Amino acid sequence: MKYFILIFESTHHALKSEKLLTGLGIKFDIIPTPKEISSDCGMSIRINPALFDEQIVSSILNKNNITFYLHEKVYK
Amino acid sequence: MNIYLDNSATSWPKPPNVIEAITSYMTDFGASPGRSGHHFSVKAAKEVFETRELLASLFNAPSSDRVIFTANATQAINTALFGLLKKGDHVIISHMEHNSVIRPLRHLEQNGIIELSIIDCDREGYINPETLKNSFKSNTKLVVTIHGSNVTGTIQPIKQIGEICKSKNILYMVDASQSAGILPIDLQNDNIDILAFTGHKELYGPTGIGGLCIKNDIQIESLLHGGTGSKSEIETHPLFYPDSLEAGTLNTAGIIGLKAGVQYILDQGMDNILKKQIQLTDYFLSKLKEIDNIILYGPDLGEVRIPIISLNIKNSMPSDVAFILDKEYGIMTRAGLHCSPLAHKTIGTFPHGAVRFSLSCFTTEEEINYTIDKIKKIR
Repeated sequence: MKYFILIFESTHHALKSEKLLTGLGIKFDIIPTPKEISSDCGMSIRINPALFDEQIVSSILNKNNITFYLHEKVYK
Repeated sequence: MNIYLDNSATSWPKPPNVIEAITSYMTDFGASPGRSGHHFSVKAAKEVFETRELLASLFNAPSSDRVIFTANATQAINTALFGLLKKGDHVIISHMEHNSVIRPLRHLEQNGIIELSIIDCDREGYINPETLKNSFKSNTKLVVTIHGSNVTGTIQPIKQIGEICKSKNILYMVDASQSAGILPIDLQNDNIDILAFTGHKELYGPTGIGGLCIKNDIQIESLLHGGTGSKSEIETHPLFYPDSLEAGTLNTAGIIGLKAGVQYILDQGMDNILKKQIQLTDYFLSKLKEIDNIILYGPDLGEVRIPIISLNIKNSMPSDVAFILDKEYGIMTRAGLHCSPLAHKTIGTFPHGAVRFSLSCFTTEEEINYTIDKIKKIR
């Protein structure tokens, strides 16, 4: 199954994003950052594509000056 | 009998929830925050994150990722000064500053990096904003002032100073070591660019934790380079906050204790704590004024001060007075220069200093009455 993975510069920004997205009622997991994607900060956010609205997520994170990178990962 | 009146050195006792929070971290989930993805590490990281959010809210800082943890206010101040100042910059400070501000700046001055101006204060320790206005040069980069004096309790007009600096496009750093937690501080409305604080005084956390709050567009170069748990593939230190100024493992236990300390003052109500301490300090001061062989320093009765009173007893050395108070009566104070030789020159007590009594929200009227009674016995 394919997921979207949000990667952040720092743990602080991953947790700030968790707080902001939770506030919007978005469902997601906090996961250790998949090493094949990045060795940036140790924590990432994984969202089911069915629950992911890129515009809403980008808008709130950009508004809070949070830099993030969007990746896709297929889980077996 | 133990009467602890040295809260400006570090507050004691600490609120029970501070001790519980630190114990819980060490007992239940004592992992390194943000270094690993497991649930203890995530829990520790969340505690650190929530502490930044809480402090950003307490000081009305624009962004919680600009709340930086250091070991103490001294490290915070050094981080800001060495990371910000460049060759040829001019810096203005006041004659009430602590050595944590004076010494790094004197070092930079003696090495030919900066020019330093120290503006006079009046006998009560107040900065005159007009004097500040007349001290600006074309290369003035930064003004640093203490908020609440650790010697006299004098509260500087930081909002007014912040406005002056803003109008001249000069950065303003406030040393809030004694005031953070008791006086309201508002980075955005007070025009403070950089705030240095310590966690173990009026914020009621443990020693070993302090920090900086930085406005969004200010870049401070790190003194330390090392592990951050981020950008690990790159051999140079990252440039984004908070990681850029936090190389190495954080003092997680200290941060968690600080968070509990802030929660304690918010639960009690900062207004209530301030009101209670001002009343008790005024009461103490009014009783001291009735004793004829005492010399008092700092603002007079009726002016708001942080809960610090420094005094001397005529014809007695401050160190002797402090020793008798402790040895005979169990009253703990701090005598001498309080790491602030310039402040003592301002109030005329250099080089012997004064005896400082500093209160906390746990100080009681009974303790003050007992102390007054014992001070009267020293002749």
